[in-house]
Amino acid sequence: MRKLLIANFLFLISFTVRAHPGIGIVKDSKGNIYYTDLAKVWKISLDGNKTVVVNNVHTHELYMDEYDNLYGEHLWYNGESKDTWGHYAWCLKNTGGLVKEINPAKGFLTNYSFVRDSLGNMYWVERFTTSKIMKKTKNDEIIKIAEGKFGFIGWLTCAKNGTLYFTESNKLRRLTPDERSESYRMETLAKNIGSKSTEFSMMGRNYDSYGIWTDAAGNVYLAMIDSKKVIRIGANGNTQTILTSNSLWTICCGIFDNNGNMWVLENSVSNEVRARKITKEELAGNKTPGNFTIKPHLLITVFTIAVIVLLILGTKTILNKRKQKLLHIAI
Amino acid sequence: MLYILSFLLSWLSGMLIIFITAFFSYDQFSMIDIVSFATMTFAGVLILFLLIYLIVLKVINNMIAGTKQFIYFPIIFSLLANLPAYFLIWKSMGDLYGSSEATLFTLSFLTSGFVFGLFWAWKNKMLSQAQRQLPKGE
Repeated sequence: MRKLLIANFLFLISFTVRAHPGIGIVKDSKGNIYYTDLAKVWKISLDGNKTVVVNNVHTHELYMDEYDNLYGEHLWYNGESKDTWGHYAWCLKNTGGLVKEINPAKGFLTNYSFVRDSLGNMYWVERFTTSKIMKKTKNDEIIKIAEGKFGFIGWLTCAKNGTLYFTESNKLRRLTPDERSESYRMETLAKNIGSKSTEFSMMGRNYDSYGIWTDAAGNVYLAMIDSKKVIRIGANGNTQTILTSNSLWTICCGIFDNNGNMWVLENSVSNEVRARKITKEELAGNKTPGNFTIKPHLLITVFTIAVIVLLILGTKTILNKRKQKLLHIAI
Repeated sequence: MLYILSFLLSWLSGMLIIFITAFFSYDQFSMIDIVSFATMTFAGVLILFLLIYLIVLKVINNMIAGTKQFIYFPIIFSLLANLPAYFLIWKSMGDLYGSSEATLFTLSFLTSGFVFGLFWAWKNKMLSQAQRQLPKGE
């Protein structure tokens, strides 16, 4: 029975748990948007035209440097018999050429990241019992900038000036570089940002914050993948829901274009990926589309009650017929 | 037909308890949660129904009679017949799901067993009423 239950669970997981969605959405200096669908990298031009710019790459993250060179990786699994992973990092040059930044190798990228500041310094998280946040300078010097027994650390994001943002369980943290020294100052920008969800949900953890991005005014935006919304955390720590998605699409990350419109990277229940533009007017009006489909839970509860009532009535009818039949036979 | 109805009613009642409890336990309960709970409880109740409930029902139908069935049937099915399910829920906690999901599974199976017991006590009462109405000697 246990095997049956476990087999059922695995069968179920294969259908219901969505893959680890990407957060790669970036813009170039002209305002074109690039995003990953975990198989290709797409470009949305200023006129709305959509084209594939890099094919056959499984990359969760993207980075665009100041010269409009686009960076990403390709990650692959070598099958259950080998049970190993492979990777390489690529760069789509502004001239159109695609080159390998890091040659194919076993395992995952190490001491390399797509989270970078305007100077090209890289930042990443080493998640262990004691987690570390690391920095690699342009001179290839690797520095530990924070260390501690954190809760689960999500995606890391970096503003142009080198300020880092990350979520730790249900808190949003900020690491600000000290201009006078090499050290960083850590602050908690907001607490209780996450909402509690079940362990069946996407990431198998208790809090649902995912991609992080910032705007020019210093606000921080968090994609909440289970509650299907985007929250904005102001510099004073005030939290506000600014956008919700419907039950079929989940916002995973976002970016602001040169005109102040927000582009969100969304994953569907069937693992499709799209980038959607939320105009600054919509944002200002706190438009929350598709609210009526947000609560499948309520609809299914009502439906279940209705089916139970029907089953009870059906049973009563069958029992009455049997009763009548018994009496009829006796007479 | 009544067996299928009793199975469906038991399973759906268990699911309903999960849905209602989830309103108070979680901030959101997505389609993934709904499908996960539905599939796992469906498989669990189906296995219990085929391997335990039907056998126990056959035994206690002959042992317990009259209105006592309304007390003993729900207790026996929700507590004793479900013991293997409770054991597996407890054993898999931490590996397959967390404590809050385990609580929901336990509540679901408790309800399923309770409803299954009530269903058959009700069915027996309805048919025994008919038998009492039969002319003497039938």
